[in-house]
Amino acid sequence: MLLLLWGAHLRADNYAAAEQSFQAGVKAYGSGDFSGAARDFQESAGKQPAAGTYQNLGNAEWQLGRMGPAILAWERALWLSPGATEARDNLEFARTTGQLEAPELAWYEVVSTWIPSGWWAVLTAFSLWLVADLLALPGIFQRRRTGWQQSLAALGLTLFLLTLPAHYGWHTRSRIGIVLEANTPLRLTPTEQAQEVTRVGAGEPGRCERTLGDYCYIRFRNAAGWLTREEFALVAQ
Amino acid sequence: MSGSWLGGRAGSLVRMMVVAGLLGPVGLVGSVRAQSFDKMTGDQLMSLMLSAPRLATDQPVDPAATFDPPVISAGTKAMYRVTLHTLDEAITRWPDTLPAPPPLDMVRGAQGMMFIMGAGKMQPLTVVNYHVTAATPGNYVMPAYTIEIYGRPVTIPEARLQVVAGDPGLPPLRELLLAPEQTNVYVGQSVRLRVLSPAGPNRSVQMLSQVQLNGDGFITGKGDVRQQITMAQLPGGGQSMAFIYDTRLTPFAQGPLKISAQAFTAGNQFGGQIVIQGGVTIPGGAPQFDLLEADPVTLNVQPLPVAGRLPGFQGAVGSFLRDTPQLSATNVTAGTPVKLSVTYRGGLEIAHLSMPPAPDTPAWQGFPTGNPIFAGNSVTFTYTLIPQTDQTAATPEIPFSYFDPDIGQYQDLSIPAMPIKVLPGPAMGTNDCLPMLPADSAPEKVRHLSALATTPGVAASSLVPLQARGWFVLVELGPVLGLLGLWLASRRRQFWEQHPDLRRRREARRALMRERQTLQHAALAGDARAFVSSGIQSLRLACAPHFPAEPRALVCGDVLQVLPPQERDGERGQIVRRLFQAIDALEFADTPARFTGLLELQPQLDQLLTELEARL
Repeated sequence: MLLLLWGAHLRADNYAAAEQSFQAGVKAYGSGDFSGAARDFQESAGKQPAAGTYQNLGNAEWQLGRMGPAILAWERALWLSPGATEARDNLEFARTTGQLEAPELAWYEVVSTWIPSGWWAVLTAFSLWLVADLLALPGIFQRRRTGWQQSLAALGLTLFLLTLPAHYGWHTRSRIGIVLEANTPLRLTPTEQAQEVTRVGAGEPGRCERTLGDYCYIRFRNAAGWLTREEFALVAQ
Repeated sequence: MSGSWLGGRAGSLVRMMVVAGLLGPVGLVGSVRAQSFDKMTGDQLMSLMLSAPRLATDQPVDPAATFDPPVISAGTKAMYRVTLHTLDEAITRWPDTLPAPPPLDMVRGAQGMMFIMGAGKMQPLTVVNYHVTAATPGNYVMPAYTIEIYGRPVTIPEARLQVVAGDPGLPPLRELLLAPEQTNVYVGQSVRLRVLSPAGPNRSVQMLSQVQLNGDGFITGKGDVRQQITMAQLPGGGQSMAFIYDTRLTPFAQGPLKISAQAFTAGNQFGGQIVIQGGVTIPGGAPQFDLLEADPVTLNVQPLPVAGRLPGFQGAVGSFLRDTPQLSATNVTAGTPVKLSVTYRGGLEIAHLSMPPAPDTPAWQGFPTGNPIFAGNSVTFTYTLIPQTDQTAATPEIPFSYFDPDIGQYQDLSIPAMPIKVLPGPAMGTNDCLPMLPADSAPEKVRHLSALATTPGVAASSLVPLQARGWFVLVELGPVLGLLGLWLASRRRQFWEQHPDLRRRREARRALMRERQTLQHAALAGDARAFVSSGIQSLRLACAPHFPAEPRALVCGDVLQVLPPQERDGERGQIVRRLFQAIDALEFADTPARFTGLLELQPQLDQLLTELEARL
């Protein structure tokens, strides 16, 4: 209990500090200090990741001409809150302006964007344990299973099975990332002096297929190669 | 990557072709160009191979070792040169250190191979050089030693070197000289490099063959080679007639670039075109094929600056000019191709100029036409441009820029937009070629950056999905443990329901354990009344499950029945009776009860209770 109280206290402190940085960022952005605003929003997001914070961070980065970090921030805002229309519109605006493509999503990944990931986890856990309880508890308490219990169990099982593709979608989407800098060399091998396969632009989406040390093997729509973790940032990280 | 055009696999391939007689009949392979044999049939290849000179494989190795020059002054350099009439690949073992006499300091130098014509056959000749210096005068003998060729031992004969204190009276060691056009260059900048072989005594000049540049980080082109014999400025100062081998190299790695050179002397055998100016003596007779070397020179290669890079830069480095672009027509209809030609001029680096990418805009479709046309120091690019609409009045600009190493800046040399009149095509009206939106479609959404969010909004403790966090998995174990606990409790309850006797005995054991503690305390406190009361209660608890009955309902006779028959009248039975008599007297007699001596029964009672407990 003491641990829980201590954790809640720390959480409250973090929230207050994040809120303070957020407001400072809003003020800096309003006065045209986009660099300071980006720093404040980044600090706030570090303490308490929030959709609005990332949306504002993307705006500040965009004003600084940093397309890669801006797109990454907006993608993170959508990651936390799939219904954030402002972040979605900003992403569309940025990709239209920069002639960039959005990540290609499979059907189960599209399903996973319907609600936040935490909700999927809660839904899955709830439906699973609902089914388990409805099936096991009557036996434990030596009661007969009634019709409504069995119907509810069937419903829960259906719900559980329906959430599984969304979970797989979240898993695969968590490997999506964004190139941060323009003209980033895509390497043939995970070494500093490696041959360049091609160069990729800031904001290009890719999928990290495997990692080796500080390097990730990234597959883009038309190319694949190695980038460092400083050149490519995962959305869910 | 080696700058030597005969180095590595490519060199081996060319040598194999020479060995097979596929490349020219002359003895100098330096002038031979690769040919395409893709479309030749097997018979044609065989005929070509059979008509070419054969490789002499049965000739003796004939090893020789000499010092060049044989007499030097102390502190100067000589070349210890080993000559073998075999392929360099045939040398299977070569000592790491030669058995040189201690005063001689020997450092491994260049190694090269060439083919010479002899008796209608191509004879391989391999030469290995060592740089030799000696600080003290004397006559030194390099002893004979053994190497292996094709696994067979071959003895290199001894050689003698005389080191004198003064002037030896002989010409100094023949060496090549390297003279780069400049030593501070940029990556991708083409640099002229001159290899000189100064004239010897009597203005005697020998040809050079198989000139080879050694080093990493640059490329050379054989097409850029020029050979001449003329008066030249020597790198160390002074002028002299010299054989000059000019080539161009292009560094592709930044940092200090070390380049050396080696070549064979070829006497009066000319390889390729050569221009001779001035009076020189070219020695006649059979040539002496000596492997000469040049001391390395270092180029400082800087990377191209990132700042100031202009659109359309494709790596062109040099100094270029652009002629006015030419359009094949200035009045065309939409959809009709028009050709745009543009000529760039520059130095020798013009040969490496890449064509700027063709434009592709909504109004113009463009693509390159044919290959670039090189003429002298100029190149002409031609594009085919097709107007897609009549709503355009000029061709699109084609960006092109280059880096000028002389001023260290990027220069814009884009192909400008050219005015042109585009008329509507015969099959289209104005803008008919453009896709039309349906009348009821929504207007395009105005795109702009959204305003700032006023609150942080939906928050999370981390971007990592909930299901990927460790604590979430632990929380999921909670329901599992709960269900497991419920199941175990249910099993336990069912067990006790099915075995009531076990449950009674278990409860009796627990109650007896507590009562015996009370008994123990009473005995220690000397409270005889409490001792008797607790003792009887303990006996009742220990005996009740055997009937079964409520413990308080048991009387002395019931307890005695539980005892073995032989003990009912024995000591154990007496203890039970005395205890019950005492308590009966307390509860039912008129006279006060007497508990004297009962506390002394504690050890026997304790033992009796232990035995009764064991039977539960």
